Amino acid sequence: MKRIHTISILFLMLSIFTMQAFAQDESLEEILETHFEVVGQENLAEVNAIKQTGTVMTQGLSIPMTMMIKRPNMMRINANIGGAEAVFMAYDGTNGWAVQPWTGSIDPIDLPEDQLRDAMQQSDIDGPLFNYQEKGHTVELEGVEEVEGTETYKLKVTLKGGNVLYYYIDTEAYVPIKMTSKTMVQGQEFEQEQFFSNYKMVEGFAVAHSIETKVMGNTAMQITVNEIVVNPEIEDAYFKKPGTNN
Amino acid sequence: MRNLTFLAGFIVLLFSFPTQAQRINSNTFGAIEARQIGPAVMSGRIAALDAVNTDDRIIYIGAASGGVWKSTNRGLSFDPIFDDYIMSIGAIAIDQNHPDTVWVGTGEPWPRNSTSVGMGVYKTTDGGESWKFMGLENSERIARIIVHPEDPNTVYVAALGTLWAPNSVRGVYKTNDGGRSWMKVLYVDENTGAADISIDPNNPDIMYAGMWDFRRKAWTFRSGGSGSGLFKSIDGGNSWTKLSGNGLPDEEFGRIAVSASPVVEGRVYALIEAKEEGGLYRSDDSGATWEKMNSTSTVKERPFYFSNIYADPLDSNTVYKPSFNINVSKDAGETFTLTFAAGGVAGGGNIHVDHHAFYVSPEDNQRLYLGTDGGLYVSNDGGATWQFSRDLPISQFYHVNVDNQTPYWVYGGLQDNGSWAAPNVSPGGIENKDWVNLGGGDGFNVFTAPDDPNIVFWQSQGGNVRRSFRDTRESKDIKPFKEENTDELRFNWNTPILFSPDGERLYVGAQYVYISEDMGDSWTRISDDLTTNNPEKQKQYESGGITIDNSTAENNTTIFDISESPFDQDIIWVGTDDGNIQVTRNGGRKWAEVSKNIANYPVDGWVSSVTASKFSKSRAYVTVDAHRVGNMGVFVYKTENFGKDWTLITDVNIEGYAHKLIEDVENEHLLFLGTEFGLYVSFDQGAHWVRFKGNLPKVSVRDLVIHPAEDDLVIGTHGRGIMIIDDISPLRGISAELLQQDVAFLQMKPFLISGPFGFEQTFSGDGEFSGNNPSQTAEITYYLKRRHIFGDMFLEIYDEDGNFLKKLPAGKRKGINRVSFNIRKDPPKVPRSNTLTFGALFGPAYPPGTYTVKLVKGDEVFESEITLQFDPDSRHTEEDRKIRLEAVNRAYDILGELGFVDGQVVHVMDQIDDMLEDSTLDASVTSNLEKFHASLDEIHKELVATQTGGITGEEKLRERISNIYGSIVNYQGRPTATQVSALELLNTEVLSNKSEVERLFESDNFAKVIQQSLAEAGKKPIELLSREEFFEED
Repeated sequence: MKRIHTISILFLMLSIFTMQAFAQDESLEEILETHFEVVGQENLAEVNAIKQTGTVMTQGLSIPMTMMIKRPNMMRINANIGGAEAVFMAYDGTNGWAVQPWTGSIDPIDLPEDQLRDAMQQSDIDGPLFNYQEKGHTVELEGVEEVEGTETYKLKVTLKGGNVLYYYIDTEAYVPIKMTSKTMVQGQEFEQEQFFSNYKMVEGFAVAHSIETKVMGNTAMQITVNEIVVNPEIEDAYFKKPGTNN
Repeated sequence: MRNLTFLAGFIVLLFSFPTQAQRINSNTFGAIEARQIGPAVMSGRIAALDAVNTDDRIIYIGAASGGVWKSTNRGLSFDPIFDDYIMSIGAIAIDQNHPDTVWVGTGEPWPRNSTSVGMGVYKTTDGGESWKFMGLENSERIARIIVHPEDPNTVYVAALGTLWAPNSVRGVYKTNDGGRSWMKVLYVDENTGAADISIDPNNPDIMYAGMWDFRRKAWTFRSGGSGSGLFKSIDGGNSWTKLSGNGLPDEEFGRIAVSASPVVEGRVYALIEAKEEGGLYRSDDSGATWEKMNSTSTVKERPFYFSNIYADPLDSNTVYKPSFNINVSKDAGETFTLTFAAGGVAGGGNIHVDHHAFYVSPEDNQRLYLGTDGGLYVSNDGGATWQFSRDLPISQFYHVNVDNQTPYWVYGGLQDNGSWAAPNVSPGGIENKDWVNLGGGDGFNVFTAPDDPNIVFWQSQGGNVRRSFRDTRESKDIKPFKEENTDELRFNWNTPILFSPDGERLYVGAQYVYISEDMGDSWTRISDDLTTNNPEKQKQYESGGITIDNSTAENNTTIFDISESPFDQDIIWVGTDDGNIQVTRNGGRKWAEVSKNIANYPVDGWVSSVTASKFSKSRAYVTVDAHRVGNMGVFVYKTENFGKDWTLITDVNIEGYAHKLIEDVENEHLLFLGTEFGLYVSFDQGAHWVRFKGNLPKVSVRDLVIHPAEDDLVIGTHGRGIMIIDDISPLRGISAELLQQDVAFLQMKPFLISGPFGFEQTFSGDGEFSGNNPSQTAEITYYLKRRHIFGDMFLEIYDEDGNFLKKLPAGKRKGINRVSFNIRKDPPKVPRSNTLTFGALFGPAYPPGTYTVKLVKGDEVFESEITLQFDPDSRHTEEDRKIRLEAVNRAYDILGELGFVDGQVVHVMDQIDDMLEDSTLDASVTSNLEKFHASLDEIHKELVATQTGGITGEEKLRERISNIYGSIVNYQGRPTATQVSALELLNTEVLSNKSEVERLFESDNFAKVIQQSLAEAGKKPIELLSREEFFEED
């Protein structure tokens, strides 16, 4: 397995370097086209579900985590914290819910609106850039901007519901190295930055195996993906809030 | 094979081709960033502010030298929104019809001696998310911006222009196209700028402008002249007429403020500075005729600093006069009283003096916002009482110092805000309450006696140096006085006072150098007058122009900096504010003026710092600042031979006039330079410079000091408080050669193992500034030539015996990366439950030792080492730590064992639960399973709290042992004896449960009855959990 990955990465990088000559003055369409090619978006389109397991490091804690996404729009993130099983967020295509044992209760609760939007967004296996028009999003190229010293294309993505995300796509590698979003938490607006790295090809598509999240400039958590299973056997019921029938 | 080889070769070619020589640049610093520790407790000068009329929760403030900040909660908390641009702000104007459109004019209009400079006009259309430069780059100062009340594309700018020299980018500018192009619609001459404009809201074609003829130099200030005048336009600012007569004073004007009443048509106030008939004037016929309303000192004081007048937006007769204090008139300008006296409310008015920016909400005119020399205040009762905004760290330091306490304290003096100190680290962050006031007035140098932090030296403006006891605050004036054989002493506004490098001698500079060996109780003069002693520069008593203003701010021909050589106490360097550089090599018997050896030395320059080198006896550095005569050049010089020859060591990367240069304490090639526009670093002793950008905007950097033990660079900024760059030691390893490597580890200092930094229970609300603490984990530092994107990259830590300990996510940015190595093991494997065990959230720290760091990047592995050690100055003895470590490990193992016992129990119970769902099982089998489950559950409930919901208070073995574990692990010293004995007692309970579990699984009942009956029913037998399985699973 490992060997296959290594070779995939080499091909991936090769394709990037040959495309470098066209990196100047590109249109949004050209950037996206190259990006989709580099990340193997076509291959991802064939995938029905993905299971990622890994670790979340936050505030000195190391929390085992599992994230499951299934088409058309289901997702669930489980984590084990302090010996208790939590559901950070889950979305079954209609309803969002969570289990938060640190609150003293293991009864599932409905996600507040802001987190529901997050969950909905994460349930899109292809990501918001792919077929964005069909999904009702808008994407604008805002120009070239440096991210920690690396040149990127800054894309403004206005999601259907009005939320705005910014994608920063490396001008040489054509993968996002950063994504920023604003979230409202209890009426307070927070800017969240996610930095993507350790991209690896999994069955023909690229997945960032390392995601660092910064809030107000400080590292809030670091996710490391250890294993990815493509098309795992998973029932739709897994995404539904326990105790509900629909 | 051949094809593959070809491919491999091709890839190598591709990768090697784009490689070019890496130069040190601002990105090299990578993750090495500054942290701001405040202070916001006294804040700093606010030059401008505006709020949204229809939603006055939204406030924008412009700091005199700290950027633009936005609040959305009526000033409770603020965020900086302009940090990529110039820090000195002069005017803010919201387009009230489109409140996300905000105009910012840079360069403050309150031109005191220490004022900064601006660079034109900016605009946002998204509430400050992004900004566009809109021109007028060379205007230096913008006093006011007005957006036309009906046409958002028409905007007026009152450009004050340059303070220190003539220029022509000043006067009133107008745009009709949203700032794409500007027309200069009112211009007098190159010495006269627009100090204020006002538009009649009832008839926007009518406008008023106050034009101001003014000039400042290092040694004098002039307000007023033939260019000053009150102007009016009746065609929307396209043409202007100078007003005279008709009740206006018939003499030369100084600074003028204007305000048209939004309530009474035709009413306009003009605050006019004039020698004889100055005061507040009012016209009720749109400026045709004027009447003098008031000429008390309340309205006349310090026009250059307080020329401001505000007609109330709702009440026809109310008008505000921000000044030393905030005054209000309820009779249209005839009489003024303090706002906090006006309402008859006692006890109000505990606010900082010196008021520059003001806003009255048209939604509720009892709501006032006031910008002062000491931050922002909000009143909800028309100014009777005021609330201070405690989240604006725009404090303006002149100097910074550190002591040698653990943790060390930072000391500094501020413009109009006294002398303060705070620890560089504090539980939960450095908050307002951590800052301690040590002295009043304008603050400058403040530091402790070298061996006694209870003895504090501080000063106020003009050389008033004092020595205090910190605990009792008793303070002694230790200023030197004129002797028989000297002139009257001349002290700078910002007088140098410092200890020698060995802490034995205290220096003070007037025009003479004084030394004290008894902490200021007696002084010895060791020089003649070292300045030019130019009498033309000693007329501060005449300074001010129309209104005399002699606050010591214009004191000149004084010593500004002193530096004793660390090699030889007889080598002393002195820089003066009139350009002299003097050096003595014999303790002051003979001085040599050596600035004359500098080619193209700037005329009327001010020697802003002198630094005797730590590395060479004959080397020194000098910074010279000539901006006070309009020369904005960067002047930094080095000599290797006591000033005989000098080299200019600047390059094009440096912006802003130079304030201070220091050397690193170990690497003689590493220099740090503070200028008006930020911090610059040289790795080659000044041949090349790069700007340090990490979390440090282009703020004025006035002073720098490296903490010798911590290697922290502590930065005194004039506008953004104190910044600290923690542990700069990795910078010592940066070289052009190193930058050629793809990956290179940098110096990692031994990490001192300490406990959690303590806890503090405070709930002071959401309006308190809090500065970040330094990292409290070990840090692995390395350089990456380019950002890592594809493939694996992570770090692994191994102990001295080569055992793998943990894997860490790597930093992947271009430049220097710093990765936190949490030196705690994984938390103990406590039994699973529905509740958290807070005691067992964290694992114990690894023991002292040298650990191997492996950085895995794709197929490559890079190795380095990091050392953990106990703090040699710790209160805890080796013996204490040994006992603690034993107890921690014991508790850790007991918890693990408990986890395993319970894990076995739960593992079997889960299987039985599944089996009981199987309807094909015989009733007898089911019954046996249920019974066995019940006996297991009985044990489980002894091991783990199982109640759910709320605060159950339930404590079983899991909770009891976790609590003791937590108590021991969170204290670095010896555990209590009862903790140790209680642990052993609990362990016997674990062991007895363990044997009970073993007995159950080994019983005939289990083996013969249950397992056998399952086998007979054709079912899988129950599996037991092995020790290995339990400890390996996540």
